[in-house]
Amino acid sequence: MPDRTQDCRGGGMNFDWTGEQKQVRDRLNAALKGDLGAIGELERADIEGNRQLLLGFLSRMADTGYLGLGQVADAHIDIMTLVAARELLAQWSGSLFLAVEASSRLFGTLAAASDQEDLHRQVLTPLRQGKSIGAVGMTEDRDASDPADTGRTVAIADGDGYLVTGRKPFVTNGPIADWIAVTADLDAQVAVFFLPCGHPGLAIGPPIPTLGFDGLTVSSVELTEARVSPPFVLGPLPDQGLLDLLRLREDLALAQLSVGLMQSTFDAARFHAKKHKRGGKPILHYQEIGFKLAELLTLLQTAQLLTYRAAWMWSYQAEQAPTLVRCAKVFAAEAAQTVAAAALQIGGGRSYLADHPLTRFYRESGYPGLAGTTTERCRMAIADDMIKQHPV
Amino acid sequence: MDFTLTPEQLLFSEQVYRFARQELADRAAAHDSDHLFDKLAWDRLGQFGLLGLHFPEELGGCGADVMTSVLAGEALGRAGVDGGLTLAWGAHTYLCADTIFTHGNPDQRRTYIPKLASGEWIGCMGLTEPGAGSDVAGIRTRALRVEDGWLLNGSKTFITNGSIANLAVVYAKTNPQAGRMGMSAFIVEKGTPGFSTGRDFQKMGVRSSCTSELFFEDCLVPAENLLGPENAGFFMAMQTVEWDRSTLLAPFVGSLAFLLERCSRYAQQREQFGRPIAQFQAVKHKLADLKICLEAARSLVYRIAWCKDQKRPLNHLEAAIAKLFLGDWTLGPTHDALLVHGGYGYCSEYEIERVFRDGRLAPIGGGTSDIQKMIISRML
Repeated sequence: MPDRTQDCRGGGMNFDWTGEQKQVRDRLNAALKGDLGAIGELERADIEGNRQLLLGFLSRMADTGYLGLGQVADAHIDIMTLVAARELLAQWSGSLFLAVEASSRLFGTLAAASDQEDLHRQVLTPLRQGKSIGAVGMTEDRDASDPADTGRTVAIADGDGYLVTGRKPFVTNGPIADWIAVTADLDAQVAVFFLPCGHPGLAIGPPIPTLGFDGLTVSSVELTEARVSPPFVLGPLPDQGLLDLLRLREDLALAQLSVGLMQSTFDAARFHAKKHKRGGKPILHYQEIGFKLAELLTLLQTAQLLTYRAAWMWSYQAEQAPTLVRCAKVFAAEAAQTVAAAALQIGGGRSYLADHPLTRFYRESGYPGLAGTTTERCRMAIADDMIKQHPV
Repeated sequence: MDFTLTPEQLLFSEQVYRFARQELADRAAAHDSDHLFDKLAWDRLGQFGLLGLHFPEELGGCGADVMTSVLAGEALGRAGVDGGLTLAWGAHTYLCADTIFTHGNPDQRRTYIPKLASGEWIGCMGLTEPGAGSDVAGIRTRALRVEDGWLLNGSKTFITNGSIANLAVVYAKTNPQAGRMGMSAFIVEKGTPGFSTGRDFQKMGVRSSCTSELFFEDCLVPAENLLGPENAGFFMAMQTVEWDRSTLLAPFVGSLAFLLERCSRYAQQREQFGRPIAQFQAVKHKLADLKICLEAARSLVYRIAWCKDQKRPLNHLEAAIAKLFLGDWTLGPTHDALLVHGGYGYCSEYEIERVFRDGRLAPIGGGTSDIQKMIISRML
């Protein structure tokens, strides 16, 4: 039987957002709600236009306090504030959601983990002010469990600095970033190297077209003996702890992205079902459509509640929190795919047109399951935890 | 947003779990196999205080909140108590006794609640009829006002605890022309002339609960046994839905935890191809799905209970979603639990097949999954 004393750590059961938890959400709503059209422009803009749009949104988010949330080591304290606010962004635009997560949360957390003043002044401060964009290159094209597999990004000490060489095939925000953080092996440990865009030895590949999130820029990043001075190095890290934490935070964010996607998808499908008439009545009033929507709303609300509960567990550093986050990620990511496919069906022929939101949601819904920790790996980790919790 | 349980709630839940493991769980298999109500287990539930959990202490209850009641139901399921006993518990405490407690006058409360809370008396609710289930307003049992009371005529079916109940809360039409505004509730005691029970049904699951027919033939019910205002029965019946969607769902949540625990242990002991099957990804996949389903279901049911504790009017949308999820989305993981156990799971002694059978009531009892979808789709 798992220990559930952790369930007693909060301030009293409450299924509503408290005023405190909602502060940043309300400010974010006030700052950006009127600009949903401009957020939609992200999907069509060229690279420079995309960068300028994103910087505009970031600078306005900076005043709301949203960008600094979840960056510091004891970030669990404000996680429910982050979750409440982030939910809005997930509904407005998956592209903007992911771009901000990559910059503020992923890159921002790595930058905040450094104790170097130079790094804080040059990198973290403008980032929090919404004046610069960050990107992180972590994933590599290799089997990490195979030491003989080449393709690792490596750093070697050289004089008073380091030379970093390697390739990161998929870097979110790569084409528009001011700073890029890459992980590399340093003396058999992992370290993080911060490089400004245009740095000698750092080459950004062309934007890579993807199935969904047209407003999100992705590219490869190539490093050829790129020189990094010690203030711009984090680590070598004593263990995988920080990177594992980032991965889990990303999984929670992906669960929220799924919920936001489902909300937008469901709203669009419901709108259509109420407006579109056949046989003299809205198709919503046919059980084939109305009942399908009922199932979709069930998936949506269940995923949302499970995600809240996982985040709450994390906010109290409960032992079970990683398992709950993985449960939320798997459930929400798979539900998003189900919802998107069913909504496309409800939308009928019109929703199959390339510029229709339901088509876009359908394309985007494939991402949360394979990003971060894949649903397959999540399930194995959940099962390992169950086996550990139930000794024979 | 906060999911905190109080230490008291958690402690009580653990006490119920330990009590149920020691005093109830081992009795389930035999009573399931014999389709037999377990009177001894019932008395133990009463002695422990579970039959009147949320009633005030002066009426023989424990003064518990709804969340505590949900945790108790979950603990019973997790301990491996069969769905028959938990259904009898739910129908008695929440569908029958609570209706008397909520709508009864002080005399009715004083007369009936202490007996029901102790378990000395067993209660049932008579609503469903051969011709009216989900369509509640379509009931045809008639209550005619006569000089010395009400004359009931009609029949009820699928009544949990029907043949063993000392008392029934019976819904009947008092103004047939007024549709749902013409229904009233009555307290009918066993032995009232004209009141009889028919056969108990043989069922797929929840076998240790009695499911019976009730017959009313010129059954004269004293005037003071009208429960709540005349013609207000529909809303009283609808109010029981709040319990249907929270406390009555809780044992199903608990049984997912039971299956998860059993599967996690069995998979480590059972070896094939030279290693425990817990090392195969296909088995681990199933364990993970059980855990995901359990945690998802918990969140939904706790939300309904919390809202009820806040005295909020029932959010029918959220309640229907909880019921629909518990009914439909648990089938896959419950089936998986059977598969993890293979041939043993198919045999009664491993208890998995019983939990599987019992769980199939979730999408049927208290409003089928289709009814939940109807409720949800009408609110879109």
